[in-house]
Amino acid sequence: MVSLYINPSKCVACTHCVPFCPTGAIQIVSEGGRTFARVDEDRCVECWICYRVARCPKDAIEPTPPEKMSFERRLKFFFASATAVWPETGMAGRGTEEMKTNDVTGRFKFGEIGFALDMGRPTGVGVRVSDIEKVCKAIAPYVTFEPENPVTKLLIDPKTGEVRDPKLRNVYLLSAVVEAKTSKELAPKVLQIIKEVSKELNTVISVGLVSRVKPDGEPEAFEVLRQVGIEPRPNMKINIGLGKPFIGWE
Amino acid sequence: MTHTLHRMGTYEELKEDFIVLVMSARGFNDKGAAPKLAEALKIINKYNPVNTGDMTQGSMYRAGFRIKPVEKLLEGVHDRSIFHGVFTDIETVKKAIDDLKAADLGMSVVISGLYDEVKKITRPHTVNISLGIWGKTELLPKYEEVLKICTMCGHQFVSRHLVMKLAQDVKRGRITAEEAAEVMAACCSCGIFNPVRAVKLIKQLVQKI
Repeated sequence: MVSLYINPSKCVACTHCVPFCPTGAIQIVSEGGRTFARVDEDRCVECWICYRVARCPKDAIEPTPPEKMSFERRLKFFFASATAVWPETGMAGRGTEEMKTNDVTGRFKFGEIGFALDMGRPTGVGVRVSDIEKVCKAIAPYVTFEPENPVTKLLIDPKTGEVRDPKLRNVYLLSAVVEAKTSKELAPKVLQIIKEVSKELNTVISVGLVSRVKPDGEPEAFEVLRQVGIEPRPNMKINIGLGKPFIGWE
Repeated sequence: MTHTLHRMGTYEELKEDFIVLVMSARGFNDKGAAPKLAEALKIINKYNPVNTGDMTQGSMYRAGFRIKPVEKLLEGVHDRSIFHGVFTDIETVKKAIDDLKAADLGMSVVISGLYDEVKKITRPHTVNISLGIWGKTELLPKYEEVLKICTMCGHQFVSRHLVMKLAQDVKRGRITAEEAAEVMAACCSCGIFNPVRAVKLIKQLVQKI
């Protein structure tokens, strides 16, 4: 049974929940003289938007608590959640704090370039683990994967980028953030690899590049982008350095 | 977590879309951070953001939070709260940032938005630069307005199908663009969706469908 279940004996096929689903997993079907909404088990990413926000007028949507889910369903649930804490890692969300707390943690230093590859995003395109593996395998020789990231912890071998459990390759997730970093010298090569491998994917990647900002106000990553002829978009996420630095990293 | 990055739009459109985020660093300064984060939330909300929320609790559009959302969020503040405020002009962002600097809370502050505009009001430390969308982009929505609206929730909780359905409802006169934007904002659990910008985009979309 799919973890997020629409009870056909309660559902009146009003279709209210249908458009709320980011991946279009809810379909209206007719069986045995009844019409009701049904969740496509593969396309459902366990985001629970239909349950939490659409609020079924007949209370027909019945999610299964994550602790009772199979591992595959729990992967879907946690990769679709903004806040749920992973039992395997004790961390919340799809990724890490990455550069958001870099003023305190010193995770990214001058001379280092970070990659935040948000796979399957935007607009509910979603991503299969096999596509995440393609990207990770391609860049693995040239990067260090973020050890605290759930993709690194649960899905791939950080040395090779290969998926830890081949049975997971077909699991369809709402999104997953691949986090890695490398030197400024290797970063152009990694970007080119990502560009090439992205042509083979059956999904999209929202690509982010992390770097420190030089005293003249130019992000160090601009040097990398000039080398590979990639134009940055005008909007960024900007840590403005108000956090108190952790003594000992710089 | 890249949830506030990759908002699509023209430079002029993005001049009306800035997010201020405040958080502690896990394992570094999170212990005892709750009062500092509460103070940051109060500062952010002094300047009337068009949306606000805690990634761990929900947004002002969450059911039960619509009345006195800041008070509700303050009741639930904890050491790992991640507060957001969405603003529609850089001048107001500057006021909030100046107050956060004066408060000297020691928490990390991130502004998501146009780099050239943010650079005018404060000194950047580290950036995450959006390089746009790569891969099989033919899977993206047909209308650019849908893409622009949906990318205002980085967790993809604002469904492209819902955007189209609500735009059709607006076109048929069943609801207003403002009501449609509120439904969309309720889907975004962090409080980073910009309903003011969404209203403009919905009105543009209605003209095309």
